[in-house]
Amino acid sequence: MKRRIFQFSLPLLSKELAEMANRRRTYIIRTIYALLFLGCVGFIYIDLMSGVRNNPMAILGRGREIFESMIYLQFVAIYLFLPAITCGVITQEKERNSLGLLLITRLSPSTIILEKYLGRLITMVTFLMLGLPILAFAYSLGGVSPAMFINGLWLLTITMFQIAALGVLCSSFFRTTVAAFIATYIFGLLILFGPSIAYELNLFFYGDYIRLMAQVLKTNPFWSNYFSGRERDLNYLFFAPYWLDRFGRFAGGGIGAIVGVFLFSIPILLSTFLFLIFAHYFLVRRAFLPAKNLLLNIFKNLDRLFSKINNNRVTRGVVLIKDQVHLPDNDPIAWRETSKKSLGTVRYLFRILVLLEVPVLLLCLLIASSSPAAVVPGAVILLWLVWGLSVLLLAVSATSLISGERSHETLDVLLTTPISGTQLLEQKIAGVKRLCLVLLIPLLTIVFFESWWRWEYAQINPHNRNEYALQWLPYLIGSLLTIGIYLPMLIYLFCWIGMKVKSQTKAILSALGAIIIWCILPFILAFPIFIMYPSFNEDSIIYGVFLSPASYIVLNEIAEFHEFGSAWGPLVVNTFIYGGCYLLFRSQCRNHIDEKLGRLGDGDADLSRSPGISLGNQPLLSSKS
Amino acid sequence: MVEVKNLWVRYGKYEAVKGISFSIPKGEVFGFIGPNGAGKSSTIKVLATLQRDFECDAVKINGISVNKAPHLIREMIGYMPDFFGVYEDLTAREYLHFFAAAYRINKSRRKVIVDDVLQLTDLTEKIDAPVDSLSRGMKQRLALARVLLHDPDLLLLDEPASGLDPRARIEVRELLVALKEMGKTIIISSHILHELSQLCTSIGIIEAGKFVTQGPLDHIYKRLELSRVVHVQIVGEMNGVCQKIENMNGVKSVSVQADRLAIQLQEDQLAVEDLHAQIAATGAKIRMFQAEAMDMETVFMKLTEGKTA
Repeated sequence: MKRRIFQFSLPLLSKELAEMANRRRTYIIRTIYALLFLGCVGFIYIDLMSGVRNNPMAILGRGREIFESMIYLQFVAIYLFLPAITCGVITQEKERNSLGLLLITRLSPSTIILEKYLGRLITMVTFLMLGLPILAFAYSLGGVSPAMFINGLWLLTITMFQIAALGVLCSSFFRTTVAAFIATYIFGLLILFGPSIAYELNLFFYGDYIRLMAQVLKTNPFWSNYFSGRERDLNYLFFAPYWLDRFGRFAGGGIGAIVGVFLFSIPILLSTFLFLIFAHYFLVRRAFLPAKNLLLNIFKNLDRLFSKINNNRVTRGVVLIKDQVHLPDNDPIAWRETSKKSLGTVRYLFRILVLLEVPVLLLCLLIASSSPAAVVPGAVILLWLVWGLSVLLLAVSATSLISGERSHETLDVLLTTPISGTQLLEQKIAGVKRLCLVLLIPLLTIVFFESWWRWEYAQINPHNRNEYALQWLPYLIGSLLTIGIYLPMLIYLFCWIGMKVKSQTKAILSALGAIIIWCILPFILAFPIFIMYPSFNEDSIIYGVFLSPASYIVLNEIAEFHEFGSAWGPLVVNTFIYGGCYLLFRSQCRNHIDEKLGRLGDGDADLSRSPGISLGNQPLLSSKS
Repeated sequence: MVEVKNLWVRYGKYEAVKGISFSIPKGEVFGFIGPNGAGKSSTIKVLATLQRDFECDAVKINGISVNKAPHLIREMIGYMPDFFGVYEDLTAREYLHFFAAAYRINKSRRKVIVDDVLQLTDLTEKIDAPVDSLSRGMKQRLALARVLLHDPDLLLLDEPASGLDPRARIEVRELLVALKEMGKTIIISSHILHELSQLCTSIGIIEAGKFVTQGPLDHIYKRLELSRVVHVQIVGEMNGVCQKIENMNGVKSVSVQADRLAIQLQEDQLAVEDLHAQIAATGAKIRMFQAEAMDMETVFMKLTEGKTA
């Protein structure tokens, strides 16, 4: 009888790592990350050195600043990149129909989850390892206590475990990478900051429970050593950077800080464990989800519910306006976009409008009855939230216009019809334009509310500390122009990305990634300029902040135009930049659509198509018989 | 009708089509045969105006160059890719009306045309069925109905029977025969050679981006039949007879196999039945006499070597 030899192997992990190693983009991203990361740390070092030019030895003992900056940068990297790295870990298998093949192998669901999890953790570790030389350097400068060193590494590690586990859970639950991607970020934000919001609003008496728990901890002799007594501490139980900061200034000394961090990291470890358990639970149960439009299904279920409610003794199922199924007239693509898509149909868009507009109106009323300031923080945050939602909805719908046709293999058929490229594009975006109109209403509601509020406030209190907060007209015009330019600009930008990127999932992720990078990159680039050239006249490049489309929205909302001396200058500059961007994206989409979609356009007639190879080079057997 | 001269299609360094030339007269059914990656789909895509990057001396349909007036070409062709290309969220009626509108068919004529093409493709009963509820065969017939909406001069059908079950395959084949009888010019690529042999008036065999042969089927058969193999079993000792057969006029070679002789025959000099008579005249007792069948699969296997570009 043969003896069974225990063989330890991790085939899935090996495959994941081999795939990662074979991708050229792994090395490109790693290099870019290293350059950005080392660049940022380098600039912090230069900044430190600039203060001690006369005595270079004074840098000794100031390693803590570099160390802390580095650790916080690594936290940012984990929170920003790790969800994107992990959210596709299972959904990609689902999308490629290969998860079933994995499940029928000898690999158990828990092995699949763990190996996939490990694979993505190793990816992130390779990024974090790039910071090790800086860690050593910061430590050698002095000022970093062993406790801080250990706590920093420990908290980074468990944060990585936690976020990766959340990504794997979402990936295991959802059918598509896009859904998992969005869900990972939303749940991540909810887990990290949800408790503090619930505490502030005392939702479901959460604030009262927290206060009670804080009392118990304070009176407990063991916990009272580590618990500062601040109730707020308990709202950040899942947010590791808070504990690094909190125990960085711990009065109890080295070992005490380490024990404290370890104790308060138990919730993070527990959440990680729970995420993995649920990922395992959903892996098989949600392995073969049918392709369906979640939003459309919700709407259809609502239709059924409303019909059921309508069938009562009083209304007897009477329908005032019946749905009429029209066949396409002259614009078939626009007809399909506006009558068959969940984000294009009037009836469904009306529901989205009600869903957005009613809370917006209610919140505006609530704010109007309580806020004592000209700039209303609640309204500002509300506007930003609606902007965020608008960008998300536009990214999903506009990028899917072409990439969706490609994924469903209908693009080639559509391209062989006599519809021109420009007509195709304009008809395609008909549904997204409707969505834009719907998004416009809550945005305008908030803008008009804020304008009215500022005007009203200026009448009551004309001498405000911030004169710009009372200037309702520039605010209103600036907001209207921003909305009027940004929304169509985003449609064409996302449409262009949808044309360039082959798969629908990648197109949506690229669109969201592109807009995030566009918003933050100017600030990242501006940061080293100011540090490298401290004598640089800030006024000369201050308008550079408008290279980020988010800048004007933020500045206009908080009325911070002091550096510019006027609210009109930034408005003109921003309008000019983004009006130009809108025209550029529009012309790129309209004039190059045939090229991007790979079909011959009518403007291609002048292209030389001479092969430059004589007919004599033809194979002998190809001669016509 | 279709004229292709010295067509080259490249994807980076990879040459998918290497200078092929062919012409197809009106009303002909041209079978495009070749292994995967031979360049069939790339050639069809050029004709369908879906390929931007290509080089040629001429690619014309009805005398119009595809790269000079692609919008005119699109009016003339009906393209069916090697996948369904159907909108799952529409009904069959909506799907056909969608494309009728896309082909700018007059609104007053659309209903009649849609009914006609549905009748031709035997889908009338499914007119209000959602497309995603149709079987694969029905989806393929619906795609064919779509192709016929604007009554194109040329049909470009890329693997129309791929992935279908035998019944659906037969249904599609019958439909194609009907289109052939309607006088449509058709370019059809397929792996299922038996079906092509029943449909096509001429074929082109392409391998590694080059034509191995092309022309009317009977010409190709005849050309290949010049070296037809005939298997003969003789009762008793075969070596003596073998010598006699080798000396016959029109016999190219004779090889002795385990239980038979394989005779390579030049049919233009010696017909198969004459060979039989001549062997019998030698006094040999013939147990088996079998001329190797010359079907399209044999032609394909004889001409291709399994190379890829």
